[in-house]
Amino acid sequence: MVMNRLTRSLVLALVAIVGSCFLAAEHARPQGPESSPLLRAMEEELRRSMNELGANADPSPYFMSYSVTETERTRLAASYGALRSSTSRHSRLLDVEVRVGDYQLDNTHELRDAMPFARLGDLSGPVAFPLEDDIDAIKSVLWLHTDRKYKAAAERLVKVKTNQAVTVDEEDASADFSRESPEVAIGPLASVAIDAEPWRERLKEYSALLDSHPEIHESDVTLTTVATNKYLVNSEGARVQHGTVQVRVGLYAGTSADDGMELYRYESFDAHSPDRLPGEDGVREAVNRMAVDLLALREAPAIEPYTGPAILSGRAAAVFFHEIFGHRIEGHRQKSEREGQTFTKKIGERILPEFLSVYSDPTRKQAGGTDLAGHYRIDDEGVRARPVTVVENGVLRNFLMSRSPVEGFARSNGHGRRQPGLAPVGRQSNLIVESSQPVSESKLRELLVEEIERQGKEFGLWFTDISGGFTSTGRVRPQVFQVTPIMVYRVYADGRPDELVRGADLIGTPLVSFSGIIATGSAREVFNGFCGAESGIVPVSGVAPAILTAQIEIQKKPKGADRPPLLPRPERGGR
Amino acid sequence: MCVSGLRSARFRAWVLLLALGAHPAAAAQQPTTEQPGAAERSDVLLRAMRDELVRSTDTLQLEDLERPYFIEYAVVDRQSTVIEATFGATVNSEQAHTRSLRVDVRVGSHELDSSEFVAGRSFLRFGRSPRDLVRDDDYGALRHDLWLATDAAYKEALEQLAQKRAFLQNRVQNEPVPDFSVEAAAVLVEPPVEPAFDAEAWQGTVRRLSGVFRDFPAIDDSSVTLRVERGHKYLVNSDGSVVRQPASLAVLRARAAIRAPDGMPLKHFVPFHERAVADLPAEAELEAAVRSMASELTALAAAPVLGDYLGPVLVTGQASAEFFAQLLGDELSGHRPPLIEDERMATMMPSRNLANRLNRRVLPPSFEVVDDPTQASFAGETLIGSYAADDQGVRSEPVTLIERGILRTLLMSRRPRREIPQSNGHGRAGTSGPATARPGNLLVRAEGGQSAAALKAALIGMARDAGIDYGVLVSVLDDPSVTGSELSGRSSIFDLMGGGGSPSQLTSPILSYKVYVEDGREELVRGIGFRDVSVRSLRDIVASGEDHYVNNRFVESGGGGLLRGLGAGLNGKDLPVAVVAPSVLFEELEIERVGGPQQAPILLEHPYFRQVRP
Repeated sequence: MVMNRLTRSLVLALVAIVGSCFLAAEHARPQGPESSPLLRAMEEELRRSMNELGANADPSPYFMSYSVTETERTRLAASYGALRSSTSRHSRLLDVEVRVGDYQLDNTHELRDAMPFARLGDLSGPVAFPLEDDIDAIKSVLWLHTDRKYKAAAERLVKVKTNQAVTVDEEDASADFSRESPEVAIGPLASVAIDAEPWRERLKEYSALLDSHPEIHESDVTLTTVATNKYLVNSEGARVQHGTVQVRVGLYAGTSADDGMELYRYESFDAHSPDRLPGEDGVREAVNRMAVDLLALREAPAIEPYTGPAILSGRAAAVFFHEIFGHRIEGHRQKSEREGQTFTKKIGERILPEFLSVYSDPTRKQAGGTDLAGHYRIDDEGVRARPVTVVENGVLRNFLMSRSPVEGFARSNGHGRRQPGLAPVGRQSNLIVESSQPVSESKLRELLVEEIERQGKEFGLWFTDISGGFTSTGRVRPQVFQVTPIMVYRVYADGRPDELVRGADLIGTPLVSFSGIIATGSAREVFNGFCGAESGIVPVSGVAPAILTAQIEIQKKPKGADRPPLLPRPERGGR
Repeated sequence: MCVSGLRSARFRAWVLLLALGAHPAAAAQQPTTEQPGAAERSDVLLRAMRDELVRSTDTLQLEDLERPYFIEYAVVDRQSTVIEATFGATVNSEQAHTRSLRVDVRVGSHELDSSEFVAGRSFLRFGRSPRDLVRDDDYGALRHDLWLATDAAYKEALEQLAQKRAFLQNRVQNEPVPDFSVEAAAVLVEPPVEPAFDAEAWQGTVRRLSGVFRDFPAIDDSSVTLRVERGHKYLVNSDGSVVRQPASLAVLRARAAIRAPDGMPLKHFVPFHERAVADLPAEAELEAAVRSMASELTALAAAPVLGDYLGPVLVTGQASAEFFAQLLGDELSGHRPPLIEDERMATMMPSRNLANRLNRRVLPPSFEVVDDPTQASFAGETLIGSYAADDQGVRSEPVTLIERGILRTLLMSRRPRREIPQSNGHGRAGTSGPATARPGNLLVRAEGGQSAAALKAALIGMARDAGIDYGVLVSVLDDPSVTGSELSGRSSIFDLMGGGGSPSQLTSPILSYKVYVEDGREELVRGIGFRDVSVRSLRDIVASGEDHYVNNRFVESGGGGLLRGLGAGLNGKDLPVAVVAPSVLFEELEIERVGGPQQAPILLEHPYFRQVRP
């Protein structure tokens, strides 16, 4: 699931996590790239625990890791020209992983036929960890939670072995944990500072711009800055310390049409440091464009269900690929017996048109001058991030692998990701779609019109912006996806001007959608957002050219039962 | 047309009073009260609330549907700070300034309105609260937020009322009870308070207090948490109530856990619950209290297990106040649950109270129980459950609930019940959800109280008469609102769902002693729990002490749906309540061994104590 702006209530939680990038040198703390006292303490306690549990405990652990995620987060929000909230928080969260058994079969093995709740495993969440580098306190928290995790692991291994004994053999007999060469990478620690007062004023000013349109009755303009430092040690010898800075300006404006349909626009700017954000004029321009779009949407006709050809702009195509494609190439989904496994047996087969290639490349920092939120250097299992060619000239080559192997893919490729407190799985990072036969935008339109005429339709659709979507990859429910476009135009075959429509949900089934891709544009666009799945919410990016597809399906967005506000907006300025 | 005209007239009447800067009733009863007119001029939030309320009350209407007959805004404006430390280091430090808004828009009439109805699938939406107001004192922006929230609440109320009427049409109703009581408006604008708080200094204190556990090698897990809330509660409603009162709290708690040699998990805590951070004891006193708690817990791990017991039990101090709080506190609430369309859901929301025992004996004749939110302190100690007006704008008053052991009335909000038609100023709301009937300061008094020595002698005498070697004394009872289900700052999905067992069960004693018949010596014991104790057991109290214990604690605010308490930061228990009670002696209580599954000892030595050990 990817979301840029899902709903008003969700966004507050979601915006809290923004894109990620390796830190620019000038933000480094003066101490330089040496192991921090924290990392050294983690290492010492890990070594002691591994040795002593190895000598005294039965079963003895074959693998342990400690990872600490430290974040310093500041968020400012303004509405209608006033400061809505201002929060800042410093936290360190500990994740302890203890594995008993062996690489082939360990305590993390999927339990078959278990009750849904039992399958969820450890729900204890991340552990609040000392914020000061007080070695004694650090070690005492590590000690306590190592014991808890060890005992839980030992108990679960018994269940796994019983489960193995009483159920039939599994389709995929690959190991539970991959062997990796330990990564040793000590990077500089990150910090980010903004001048809060001028930023408050800027946000208030942007929100006041939206407020100058009485029809726009909701607005939120936010600045979020997050400095994240991750520390990881494991019993294989990995030692990782790295910092990232994420900055996001989010612009939200909402209104409703006269029939009660809720309408909104969301724009965001993601950057790896505050100085890479657009200048004030750039943001004002985006604010004004949003206002113009929203006012136009209010007047636009509501869409009727439609099936036919369409162009997805680069940003829309990026979300489309993230949902219908990206989630189905996540490694662990090829193994779990509850997954639909769309692509599991399709390695080496053509699954997309020959002119398309797809890469997942967390090492990419930017695309076309835009910072990518899905960038990282080392994943959450301490494995170095690698670019992965997922589809080469239409042929499926690889999956996004964490340290959970699947048949034919024994090693991680640095895509094990999670939010603190959850177990890492193979997740997307920067999903990059490339075309070997790009055409100009005007040519793409010509091809659309040709396709409209070929299908005997009155019009096709042109999606210029999209807010997010979700997909279901399981076996039990149908494999579908849905994305929520914001700006959709009808493009008429007879040359009438394009017409904005509102209230469309783009739906469909994945395989059908892939087969319909006819051509791509040449300019690539970036979508930065957040992806939520079983290992939590992680920042992701999509990069794609515009795509012409022969068949998309539109359903009407369920209309809000509410009407626009009954009373006029209260007067401004006040008494 | 006529009705709304009247409403507006009444409304303008108090607006006028405000403008004149005097409300005779308020001035007479509350000499410290600021003049509302002056307050309004300086308090942008109050002015914005009042003005948007007047506009909505006068003009809000969807087509030709019913207009609201009642509108209320309640805002809690406060700055919260949370500092948590473990073993000498800070693990959490948060600051937030929030203005949470609760909007109550009712359509229909006092007899039957849109409130308190849970339609089929709306369970999760029940008690949904609108978003926080803007933080700036920006009049236009505040009104804007209020405008949208009122609009949404009105439309939801119309829908609710239609569904509720449809549901009731198919039900036979004998003597329907009104949905909402008619009450006098309260105009009570207290002067703003700006308590000083040095967060950095306190972070040092909390850190140092948590470092006390470095002297206690047997303790596995410990934490010290400080939560400071500074701010005000605001309320305006279309009855004409205007309330601004301080809503500050200072909560400091130390918690610790240990394992006995046989693997029994044990915990202990020490709470300081005050209205203001300035009321917290000095650091030296706090440290002594934490140290003494840690010593007690260490001793407890070495204490013998009591085993099963049937006989006299003396309950003193915190344990006694906790006894009354847990057994009586919930059941004295006259809360009437909402109408629930789905029968299965209805069974999930049991209502327990003593309504069927009105005018019958619930305590021995020497006992009197009064809930008095108007009292700010008791014998010099703060009562954190005090307030001048409740969260429905009803002025608080002392309520005699139990008189000479006979139950006379229940704690009431503006939701009437058949037996009791009016509020008695106990409609209280927490961080989320609507106001429900909850206690404020529950004061348990008994005539003929005896000295501690006399009670102990009586305990021994009763044990001797029963032919057993010892009686049992309990001095501290677990308070899960403090100890939670886990220590060390973890929160599981189970906590979030408001778990923690049935409210009717009494929690386990933490400190309890065998008191030997032969020489009166006291021996600490562990691993005990009460069996079959309920509110009925209180009738079996045979003696009480001349002492009293002030137990400031937190309870669930009720309402708010499945996700209540989420983010409240106090284990979902966010409503401050005080319970004051004397020691009590029971002729016979049944005690059994508890302590949960035995846990294997921690396999490795503690890294700190291993290193500092000589």
